[in-house]
Amino acid sequence: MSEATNVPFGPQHPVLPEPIQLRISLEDENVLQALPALGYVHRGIEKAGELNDFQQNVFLVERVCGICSSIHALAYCLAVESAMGLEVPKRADYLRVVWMELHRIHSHLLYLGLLAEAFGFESVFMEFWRIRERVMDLLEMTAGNRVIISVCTIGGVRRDIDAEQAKTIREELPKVREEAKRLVDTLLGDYTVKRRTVGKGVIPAQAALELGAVGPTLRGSGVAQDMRMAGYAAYSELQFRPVTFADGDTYARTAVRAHEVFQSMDLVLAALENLPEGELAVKFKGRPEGAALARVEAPRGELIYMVVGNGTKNLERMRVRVPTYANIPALLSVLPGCEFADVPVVTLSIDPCISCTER
Amino acid sequence: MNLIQKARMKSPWVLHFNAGSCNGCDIEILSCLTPVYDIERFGAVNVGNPKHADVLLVTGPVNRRNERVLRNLYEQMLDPKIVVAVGTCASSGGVFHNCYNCLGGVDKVIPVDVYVPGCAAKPETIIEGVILGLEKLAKMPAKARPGRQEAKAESAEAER
Amino acid sequence: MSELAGVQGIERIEDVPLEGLLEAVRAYRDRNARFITASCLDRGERFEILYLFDESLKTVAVRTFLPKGQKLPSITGVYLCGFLVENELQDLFGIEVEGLDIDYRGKFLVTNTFETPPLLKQTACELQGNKEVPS
Repeated sequence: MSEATNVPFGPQHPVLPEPIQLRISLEDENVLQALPALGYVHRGIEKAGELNDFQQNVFLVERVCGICSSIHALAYCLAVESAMGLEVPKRADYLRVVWMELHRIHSHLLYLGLLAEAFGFESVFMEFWRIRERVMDLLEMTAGNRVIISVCTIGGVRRDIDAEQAKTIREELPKVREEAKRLVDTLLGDYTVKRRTVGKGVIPAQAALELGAVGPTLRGSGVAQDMRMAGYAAYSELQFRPVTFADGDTYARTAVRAHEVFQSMDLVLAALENLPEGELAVKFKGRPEGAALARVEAPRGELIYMVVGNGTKNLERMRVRVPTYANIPALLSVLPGCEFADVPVVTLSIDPCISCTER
Repeated sequence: MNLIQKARMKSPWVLHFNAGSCNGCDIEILSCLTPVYDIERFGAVNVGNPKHADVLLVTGPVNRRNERVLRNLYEQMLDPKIVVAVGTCASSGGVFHNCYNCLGGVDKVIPVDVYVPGCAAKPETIIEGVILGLEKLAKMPAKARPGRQEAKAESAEAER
Repeated sequence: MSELAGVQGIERIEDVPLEGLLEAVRAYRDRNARFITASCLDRGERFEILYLFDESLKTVAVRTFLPKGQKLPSITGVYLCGFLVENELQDLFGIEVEGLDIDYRGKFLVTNTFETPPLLKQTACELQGNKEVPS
């Protein structure tokens, strides 16, 4: 046996939009072991959450991650609302669904584009990001900002979607859907893509559960678990069934995300269809006293916020568990045995979000 | 304006470094490359090698672990060069001002030429920031500027 | 308040002594529960540590109390994926975890430039502007 070579993958690597380092031991072209070196994006948000006012924290947690920002805000708000016993108005619940699903669409399109780029399909990357811009336009139109949209607040939402905006969304989404469908069919049906993804980085269902995988990584292994099934916000009133694929490889995880793009479009349209009239946010007094935990489904998987209040304006503890954190052990388990040239694609297949992971 | 200066102005090569940002600004920088904004029509190219780059785009408030990486990248870039701090937290620390692991802005570590506001900064603003930086770059002499030596001496001291 | 009276959203919290921790965690594994994460609170003299599990979309927890200065047994022998969060406990709370499979020795997320672990209550976090830049 030849001696193992250690190769650092990252923190600056063209395929990774974020700094994470994987220390990879190689024997020839085969990976023997991979270990992550984190800390390049650690800021200390959990501590800052104790130093800030609990209402200021909404803006802080949105900046845990810029890609799924509003979902962080939603999870935090749900946790504080449940600690304070607030009842959110129906209209706010539906509007939350609209924005969360728009966010999921842009996040998944982003992933599909980056994956195409990791193969070297630059033009497919450009196409996915071109149609993603149209979703970003919808976010900007309804919320006033593109990425960090600050729509959730404790007790409801901060902005409304009026009839005209709803009409624009209803007209625009089917067009985006058509273009996305053409691209997704191209990507998932392509011979080269299949050669690069089918059978790469296989996580069996039992291993995925034992390693604590969540979200599309878990659903790509055939386990139908999605926190939206638990029915927070208005999901209990919308028809929702999780998307699953059984193979557990990179292809299956990509297919889950591609199909969730269309599912999210359906959810947005259904939420707009059934949008009830009413208040946007409930007014409240007082401060959180008890502890509460909220679990929601972010684009990358299950996101958990736990808040512990002590009756003052500062929280005793704000705990964040993000999806990529749960998916890293599964990733590390499949990298050994891969060829080195496949590492970027397999790493990308869990859609890692490092700024989430390190907070 | 000689040929090299002209080429540098017409086709700035850009290096992007994420120094602990939330990704918001990073995906907006990536958006700049895609068809809707398409900065490549101005000749700007996103490169991975610091020795090739004229412009360093930095996002994020800089934390204690990547501070060294950022300083390394900056030192490796050849003069003349400009540094653009993209986003509120890269400019001042922003929402992360009281996070224990953040240094509070790119200018705590390396000299910054252009501050781009916004959380997250919009692609239009980022392009505007780079163009402002290029105007500054055009006026720079094609050799090391005085600030660089100081920065080097400082970091050498810090290492000691 | 020296311990949680209950958490909204957690179905049940099972209290176990420190020495019974691994046994309780193993029982969850035998029932095929998915390990979510551990969460730690600084309660002055001791740490309150919650291990969260998912049982078909319901959250359940095992709670133990760790007096400061004592070592915490690692659950990586039962759930390997616990290594991330246990390294985090070492970094941010200064807890020493015993028998950790993949041990970063307190340099997982932060470099050791803090006098006290950052998430302890006693750690004062002044505003960034006044802080010296460590090398």
